[in-house]
Amino acid sequence: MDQQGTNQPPQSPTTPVTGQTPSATENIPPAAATATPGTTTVAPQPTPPLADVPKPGGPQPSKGKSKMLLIVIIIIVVLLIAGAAAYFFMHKNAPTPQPMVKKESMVPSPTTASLPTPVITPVTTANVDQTLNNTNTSMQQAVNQVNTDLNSISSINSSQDSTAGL
Amino acid sequence: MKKISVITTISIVGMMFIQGAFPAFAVYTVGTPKLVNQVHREQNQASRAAQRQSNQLQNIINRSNTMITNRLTSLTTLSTRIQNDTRLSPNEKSTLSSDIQTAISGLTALKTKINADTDATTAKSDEKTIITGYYVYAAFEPKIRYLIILNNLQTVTLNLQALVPQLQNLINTSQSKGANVTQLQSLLNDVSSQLQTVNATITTDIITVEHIPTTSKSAAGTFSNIRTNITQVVRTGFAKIRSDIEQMRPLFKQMILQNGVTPTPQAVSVTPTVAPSVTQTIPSTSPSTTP
Repeated sequence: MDQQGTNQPPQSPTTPVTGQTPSATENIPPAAATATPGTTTVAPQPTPPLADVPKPGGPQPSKGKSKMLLIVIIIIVVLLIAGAAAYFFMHKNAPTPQPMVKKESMVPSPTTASLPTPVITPVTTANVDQTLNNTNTSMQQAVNQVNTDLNSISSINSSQDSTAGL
Repeated sequence: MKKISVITTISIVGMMFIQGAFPAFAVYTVGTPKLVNQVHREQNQASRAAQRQSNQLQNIINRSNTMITNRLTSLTTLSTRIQNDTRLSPNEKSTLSSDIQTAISGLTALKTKINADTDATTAKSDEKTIITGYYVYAAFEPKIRYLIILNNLQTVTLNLQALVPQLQNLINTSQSKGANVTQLQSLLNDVSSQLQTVNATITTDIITVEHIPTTSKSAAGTFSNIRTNITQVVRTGFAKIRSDIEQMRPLFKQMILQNGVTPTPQAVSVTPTVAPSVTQTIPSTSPSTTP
């Protein structure tokens, strides 16, 4: 019985010695992983993802985030100011509501009129006769004027306001 | 056989021709003059009707223009009368003139409308409005003239009423010095009484006249009553007051000569003690005045 041949599985010359196979090497094409027959093949070191490795000269992620946040805050503040200004100007000239007033101009309403205050020169013994004479003359003139006006009224031909012929 | 068929064909064609052409001959020969005459007659009728309507419209417009011109002349004369009055207050003048101006503006606008009217029916309706909308002669002018009279009389009455206390003061002073003032006092009492009656009548009449509408001519009775009040109550009252004054003059002269009375003058401005009159705020078409 051959022990080596029955207990041990035959090793492929391309199979690495180490039992662990890094995932990074699983995608490597066979041609690249081909080793010279008869020599021991060393498994390549696992390469970490590119995103995880920070570049020495590139921008820091925390700084970019804070800048973006700052811009967003500025935009919000500008929008709030613009909104407040628009609200202010819209309500600046808004007409104040007027109370409804019921018009009653056609309804006659009695109003007390103030009478004129005649200015009379003080009557003394020196001017009483002249005052009475002037008063008498004034009354006569008023009566004459009344007579003239009454005659004018009498001469109005009210038949001109007849609609009979129309 | 052939001859018969030819004759038949010719007959048929001939009949068809006659049937088709006869109506045309009928129109152009028998009916033409009648139809033309009828058309001409109708045209003439329409033309005459249009001419008649146009003349009627023009007559209405001419008549309306005359009516409005007459009324505007009367209103302008009335306005001049008010402006030249020496007793009316500026407020009374303003109120009365404003009412007249409103009527003048309304009539002027109506004149423009009537002159632009295109049919006789509308023009006739507008012509009626010259009368019924204003009643210048039946209501408006008498109303304004009565208000002028009453306001003038009220002014004179108020001046007289302001004079009474001053005369009373003279009489009192003379009486305190032992003069016999019985006759003077009696005359002054009569003056005061007459003034109260006259003033009450005038105040009532002003309110009555102010309420006369100018949109109806049914105020003849009211105007007649106002006239009676003026001629009987006011004019009679004034005549009595004048008579009293004429009697008072020699009595005052005699009193002054006997006693040498020199009473202390009262205040320069005297407020009359009559009750204030009540005026009504009335529509713009109704003339009003504030005494």
